[in-house]
Amino acid sequence: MNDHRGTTERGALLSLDGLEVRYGGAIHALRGVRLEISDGEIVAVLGTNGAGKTTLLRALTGLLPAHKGHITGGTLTLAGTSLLGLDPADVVRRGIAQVMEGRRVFAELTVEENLRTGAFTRADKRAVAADFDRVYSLFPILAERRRATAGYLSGGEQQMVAIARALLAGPRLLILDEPSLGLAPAMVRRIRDNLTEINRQGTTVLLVEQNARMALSIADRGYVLETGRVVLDGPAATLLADPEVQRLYLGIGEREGVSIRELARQRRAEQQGVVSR
Amino acid sequence: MTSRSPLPHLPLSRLTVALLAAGYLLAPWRLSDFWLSVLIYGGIAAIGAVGLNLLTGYTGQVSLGHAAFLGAGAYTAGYVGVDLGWPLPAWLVAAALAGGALGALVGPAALRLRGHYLGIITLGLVLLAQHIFQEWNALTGGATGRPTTLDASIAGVDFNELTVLGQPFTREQSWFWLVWALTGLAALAVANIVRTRPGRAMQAVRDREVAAEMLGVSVTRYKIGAFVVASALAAVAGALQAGFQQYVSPSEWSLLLSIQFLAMIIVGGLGSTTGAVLGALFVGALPHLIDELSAGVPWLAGEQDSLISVFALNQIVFGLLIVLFLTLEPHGLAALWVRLRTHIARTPRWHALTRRRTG
Repeated sequence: MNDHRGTTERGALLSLDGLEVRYGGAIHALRGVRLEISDGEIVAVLGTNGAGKTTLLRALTGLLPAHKGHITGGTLTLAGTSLLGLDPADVVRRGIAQVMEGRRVFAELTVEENLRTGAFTRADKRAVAADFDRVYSLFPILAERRRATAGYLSGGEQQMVAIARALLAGPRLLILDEPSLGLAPAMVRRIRDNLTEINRQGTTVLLVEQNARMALSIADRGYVLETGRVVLDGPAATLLADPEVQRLYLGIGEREGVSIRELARQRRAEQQGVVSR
Repeated sequence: MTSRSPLPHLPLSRLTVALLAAGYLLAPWRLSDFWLSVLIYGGIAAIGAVGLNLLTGYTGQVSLGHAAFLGAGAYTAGYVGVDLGWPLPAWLVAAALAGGALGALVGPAALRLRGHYLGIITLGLVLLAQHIFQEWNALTGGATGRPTTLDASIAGVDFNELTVLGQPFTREQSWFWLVWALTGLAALAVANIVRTRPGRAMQAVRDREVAAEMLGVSVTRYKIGAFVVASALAAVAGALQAGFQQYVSPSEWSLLLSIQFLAMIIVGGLGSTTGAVLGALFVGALPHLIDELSAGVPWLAGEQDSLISVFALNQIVFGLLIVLFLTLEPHGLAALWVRLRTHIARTPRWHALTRRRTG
């Protein structure tokens, strides 16, 4: 797909520069993160547990204060306007919707009520109705099961509800946190195809994943986060071919068989060694 | 599937509505004043239960503080309806406002605490309120209580001495009509909140608080809003209770009353407005039913060689029912009712009669 690198002057949709986040004034969770997403892109953010992915998402969606976190430096803008200090409802109104990790459907509401809640901040009934049609054609199974209680759906269907619900917020930027988590491979492929289609229809996508192969297979570009820093970024194809990424996230290479987490720990130990020297 | 109704815009089917309307009109002619008073207390409790269900069943906030709001409503009504001598609409609205305001004060606690912790805080509220009720002599008459013969007239119709076309009615007959009209209004209002935008928001907050917030639902507004509506309805129930029994004392607004309200919505079925009304009737009428049924049983009742007193039997049955409902039918009477209805609808002979429109 398109390579948007070097086109930042045309105006990125989302732009982070030198972003610093601390929890409770002590834990330094993000350190000078620079990240840009252009209109129409799919961007993947990779990283192991504790790398700062969740903190990054909280910073984007205004949920940091709920976790006693603060942005202590840097800029964060959507289409040129700052998102700093906005609460989650404002962020949704500005056009960012997030599909949270673990799906989190409203278990006792029906599929349709879940989706209506997605459009909670919107007043334009016709636009909402059009978006209902759009998500129902994207996920025909949800149209079939619109009156079913969401808690009784399968994991994959619940993931579809979560994505559809976020789309009903009418976002310019759709953020997904680990959408492949806990799903069967066939369902992961379906979700991946859905995301490609959603992007093709004009929604920019930020995909945060541990499943690097899935994420990089549909992304235009990717960023690798480690201990709160962007350690690597570039076109998805370049990242897929990168020996470090292969070793750490795809389990290919000399240390094959060692767990990904263990590799990351070793690598962190190496890095800290370098810093202390 | 706790509260799905077959009709999209009415909580009950038309047949049920017709039967309820007939019962509402005819009951005062057919029932004794004793059973009417049982139903009046049941209706009053239903108003409080419907509110608590909005708070606990739909928004997921456990509250043991309901008794405090009922008491606040009772004394507000006593002040406005007796001390100031204002008529029914005035003391009802005053009680609702006072209850709502108190709910808005307590509600913010729910933002920081949930589940058991919120339960403990609201438990403290009941103890605090009972203390105030005992000490504020000017308003409450202290520990011995105060008379609350409220002016129950609205637009020239006095429900304490109702006369229609020269025919006088007893106090029980008139209050039955008054209370159940208000119960119907309260249930309808809550049912409408529940099935529209604010209701979806409350249930979203209950099911997944953070996910709801991520969609732009203000958790603060709906949590506190549920508290305000629930406490306003509790205060209305308290005001009606004060008006009907004409005397109130602080010991009534105890923790036991709060627990009874929780029992009503659990037995009725959490997250069902119809269930809350059924639960209130059930819990309210149960002691009297047991009383009635045990009259002929030799080793029961108040006789000297009786094995167990009716009062003790009541408590045992009450406790047993809560345990049984929680373990066997967590969705309560409402679910039993739905199951019975489905069963009837599937029986061919009844199918034509009870078939209803879909969509």
